[in-house]
Amino acid sequence: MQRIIQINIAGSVLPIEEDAYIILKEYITSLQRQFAGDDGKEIIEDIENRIAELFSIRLQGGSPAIDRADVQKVTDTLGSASDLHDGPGPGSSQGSKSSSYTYSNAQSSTFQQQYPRNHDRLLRDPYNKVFGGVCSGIAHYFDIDPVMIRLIMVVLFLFFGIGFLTYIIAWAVIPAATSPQELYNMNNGNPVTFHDISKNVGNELQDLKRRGEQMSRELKDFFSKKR
Amino acid sequence: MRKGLLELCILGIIQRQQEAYPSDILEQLKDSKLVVLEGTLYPLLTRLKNAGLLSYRWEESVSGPPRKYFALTTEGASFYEHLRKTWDELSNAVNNLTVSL
Repeated sequence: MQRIIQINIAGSVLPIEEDAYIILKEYITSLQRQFAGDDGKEIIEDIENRIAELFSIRLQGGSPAIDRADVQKVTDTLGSASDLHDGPGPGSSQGSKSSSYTYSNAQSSTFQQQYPRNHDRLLRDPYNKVFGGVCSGIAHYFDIDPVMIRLIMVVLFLFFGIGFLTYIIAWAVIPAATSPQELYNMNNGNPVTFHDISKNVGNELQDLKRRGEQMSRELKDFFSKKR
Repeated sequence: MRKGLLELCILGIIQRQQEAYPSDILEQLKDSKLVVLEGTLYPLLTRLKNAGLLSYRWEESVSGPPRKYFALTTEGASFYEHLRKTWDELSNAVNNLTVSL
């Protein structure tokens, strides 16, 4: 035995069996959780509209009330909340092939230029760095030339002695740009390959060592030339 | 990887038809053997609309609530062109570099 209740969904009043109603309600709540952002309300409205439409078609087909099977069919066509990932950038269903990967990267980034930019996070720039990419990261954040920031840093270091400590702290605190999206933004729109992407602390240190060696070589050259 | 492509396809369908209702779009995607959950379409359309690429109008429907018909804005049309060009370049590149088995 089932009790039939009336629901108002997207402005249509529809009869629905009670257990079907419970499932539907749960489904819509899960969607609301999934789309909690600014657009969420509108997305839910659209989906409710569609659900109401599918139910109306079903009821016009002669069914006295919506039952569990109907709700199931609707949630299957629409997809469960966890399947409906939204948001620009790498989604859950990212291809593993590198060709498709870079494509999605380029694609979503072209979109990024159209949508309100959200790259305004302070990140270290692994492409353009002397030590840890802090200065170029800051420069990127303010959209100015990294050389300016580096000069300021050097001046701070030489005259006030606080630059060094500040730099080390900033290096530790500011995360490096690692996601394809972030790297893409840092790299001024040049596509990023997989190779560039993951840099953990280990390579970072190795990298620094290499740079140190290179720098001391350059310094040696510089001084030997002077002599 | 489907995300960018799906956007391109949706814009393409709307561009071709002038105006489209989500179910139309879905139907055409299915006809082209692109399987998409209907639910993924709504957030995408809303996002494109809020980015100023799509506009919509309500139309009464016989079988239930009014429907949203989407159309490209001028910005959307030029964006579609841009995307389509990118895709052409990319697919040419991939086709040239790889052999189908």
